[in-house]
Amino acid sequence: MNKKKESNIDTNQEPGIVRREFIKRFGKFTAGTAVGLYVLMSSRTSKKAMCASDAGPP
Amino acid sequence: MHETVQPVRLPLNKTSTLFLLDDESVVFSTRSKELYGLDQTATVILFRLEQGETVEGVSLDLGFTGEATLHIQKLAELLAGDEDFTEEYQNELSCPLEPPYLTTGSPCYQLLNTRFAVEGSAKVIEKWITPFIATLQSVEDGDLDLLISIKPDNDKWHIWMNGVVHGDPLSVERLLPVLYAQLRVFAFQKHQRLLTMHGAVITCKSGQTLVLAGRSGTGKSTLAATLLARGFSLVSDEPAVIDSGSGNVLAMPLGLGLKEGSWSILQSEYPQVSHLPTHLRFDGQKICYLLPDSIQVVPCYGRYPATHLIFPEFNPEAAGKLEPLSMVQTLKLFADAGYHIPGLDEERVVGIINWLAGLERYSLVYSSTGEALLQLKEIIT
Repeated sequence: MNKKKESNIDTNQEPGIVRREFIKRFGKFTAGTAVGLYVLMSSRTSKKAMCASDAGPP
Repeated sequence: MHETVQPVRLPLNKTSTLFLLDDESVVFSTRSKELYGLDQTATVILFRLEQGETVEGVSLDLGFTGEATLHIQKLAELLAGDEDFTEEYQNELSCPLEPPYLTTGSPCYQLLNTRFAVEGSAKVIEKWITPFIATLQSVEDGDLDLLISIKPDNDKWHIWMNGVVHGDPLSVERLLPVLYAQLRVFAFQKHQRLLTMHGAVITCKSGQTLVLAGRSGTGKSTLAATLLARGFSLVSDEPAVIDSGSGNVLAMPLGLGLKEGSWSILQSEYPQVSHLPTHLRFDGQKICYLLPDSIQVVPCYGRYPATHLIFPEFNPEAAGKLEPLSMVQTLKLFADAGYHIPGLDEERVVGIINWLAGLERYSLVYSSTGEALLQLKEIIT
């Protein structure tokens, strides 16, 4: 089973309200909270991607 | 039943769009053509910065120091549209895709919509290549898209593709892994695809199709072989190619490659494994291939709707664990596994997110194949 929906934010609202609701809902951090920011995909990572595969370097 | 998350599009600046995915988000930049993943905390901070708070103010307020502060700075750059996180670059296969070649005499094979033939030293081809592509033999004659030539160079061999030599000369043991890799790349680059990812794909009669994805050496082929011995059929092994129109996995049923480390683990299912012809991968590791004489494979031209995306990790010292993945966690593992995407734009990002949202997604740590099977019983029938 995939992760259950947690936000319960009405995303049909005006974007500014969605943003404020999100901060209100999730904006309370506990000590030691980490920030997860990742480069997930890049049109410039083809070489890396191919080398990471068993296909080997192109 | 799994609950899917529909991305909510929120414009961020002139060049970036944020897609809110329940309690996390991804941001696509049309300027850098990059997709960033933000967990719940990063998404909150981005929204706070958007409302006018400063990096220093947010850092101080949250008590963040060190790397966390750097991440807040990166989020500010993302918001301003002047981010530049990677120094990677594009590298395309250098083999010409056109024009089609005509040959006579050599058998014709087909992988996806690529028709190809192999010519050259009959002795080498007969022993080291033909048995491994036999299932792809085409009954129809016609124009070729790809002519592969195996030409001698002292005691080694060169692979030529459509008249262009590929890489350095190779010993016979290295020919097949390189040929397989180049053949697959040629075939999928010619196909209209949503994405190509590093993984093995297997399917069962009940219609469940599992994409086992991950970096080399994570145990996906071992797990695939284990399931193939229990009624599954092989759809594809390295890579998994997802059709752009249907979102289905395209069948590329070449042999399943097994690196030396898995041979003893699979001894009971495949007693023949240590006696199969041994090849050498580009990194020098020994590999053998399970062919359709010992495993079930799907027909060459099939398309299979994926139902599960699983990132296995074999770790003999860890306790077995099957865990559902959020969208950003999935995308992070997906990126780590290796992929090829033909031009990243907003439409494709949405396509990929929607495709992933339709799958059940898990990470699976296993210390033995028996343990993995027990874990998988919870999600597959």
